[in-house]
Amino acid sequence: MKHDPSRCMHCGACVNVCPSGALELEDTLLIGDGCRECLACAAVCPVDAMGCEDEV
Amino acid sequence: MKYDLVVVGGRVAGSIAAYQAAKNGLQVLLLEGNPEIGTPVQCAGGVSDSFFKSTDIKPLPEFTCTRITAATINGPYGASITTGNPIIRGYIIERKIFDKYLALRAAEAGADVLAGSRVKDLMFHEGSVSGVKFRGPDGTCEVKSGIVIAADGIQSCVGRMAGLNTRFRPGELCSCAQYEVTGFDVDDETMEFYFGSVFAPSGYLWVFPKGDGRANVGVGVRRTRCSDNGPLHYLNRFISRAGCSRLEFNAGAVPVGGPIRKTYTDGLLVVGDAAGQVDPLTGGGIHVAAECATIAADVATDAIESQRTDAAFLSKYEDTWREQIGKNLDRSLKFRKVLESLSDDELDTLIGSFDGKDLNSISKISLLKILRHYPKILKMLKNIL
Repeated sequence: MKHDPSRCMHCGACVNVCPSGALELEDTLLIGDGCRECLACAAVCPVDAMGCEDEV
Repeated sequence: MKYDLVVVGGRVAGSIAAYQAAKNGLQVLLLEGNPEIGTPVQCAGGVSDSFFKSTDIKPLPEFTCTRITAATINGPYGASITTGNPIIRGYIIERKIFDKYLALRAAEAGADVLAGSRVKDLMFHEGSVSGVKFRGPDGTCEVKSGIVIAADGIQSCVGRMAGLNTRFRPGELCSCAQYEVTGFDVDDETMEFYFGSVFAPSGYLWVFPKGDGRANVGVGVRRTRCSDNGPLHYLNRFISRAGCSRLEFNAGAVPVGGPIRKTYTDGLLVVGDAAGQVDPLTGGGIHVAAECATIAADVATDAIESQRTDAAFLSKYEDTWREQIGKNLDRSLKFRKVLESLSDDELDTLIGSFDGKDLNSISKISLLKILRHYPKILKMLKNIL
């Protein structure tokens, strides 16, 4: 999972929907070990800051 | 340090809960994770008169931008209706200033307020939430409390730390983006809404006037239904025609799938966006959050006074808010599902069929006359009304 911090607005939507609880919002978004690249986060991100390696 | 109540989140739900609990005589600590209360804004700022009536908060000039007396609803192909129905009367508010005012009000009622203080963990005693650990400008602190109110918004981490399922499915979140623009041609008393897949598939686009050519222009869409494009795509497409300056950019997500299943556990209550207490049709959460926060604060007060902070006692919070607003939220959710099942053609025709009718005095009977050409909608409305 790739996260683009330059687009991220720290809104926390991705943190809520992540089924593995792998995301944590600090000063930047932290992606933990549990990520299974299910793209639930990308499906709610309002600013296209989440996606697969080749998308963002 | 020990408090009767720690409220996590200093926006509408949190500040109103903290104010009410402090007014009831509790020792209250209000924690806001962001360094400044009110920022970043994740709101279009529309508030109806009923909010101010029911909360006793006055619509002060320092946070109200414009007085709203009308709403225009636009269809995808140019159909348009304008209504001055009293229920839409209200104000466009400046949330940054409004939120700070609410936190100040909580502080004046006796609550301690700390911004820049992010909750990292909960403390437990015999299985019940008994306090919070937070990191702030002074380092890491632990605070014991009888009850914790989680008003931490869409992230909703605090409820989750206590074992509640605060997760929404991606399809239950409406992703929103908004610019505050200037040099925009708007009527200062009219909110504008645009529906249809051109503007905002499975959501809507809004233009809320803030006076002197300023406006909040935003889009909310559910990306699970238009996954290729996010709200920014539709927002930019709309704005590019106007060629106006952008003073601010906001983005966030609104839970529009109805409330979470359980909003209480031993020593903890969840309120506001964190609990999904948002009108699923409009995405409006300010009035709902205020009502639920007041109930939460009153139940917390009873709980502290009776020394009963267990889930069995705190369930009174959920019983009360479901009784007071649960039905309205359910009905809104059904309406939203009716709306989103309509094609662009159906939407435009429906909006057009209201044209020239006096929406202020429209009766149920005349509504049914209009709708008799829409058997699909009638059938769905039967399940609602």
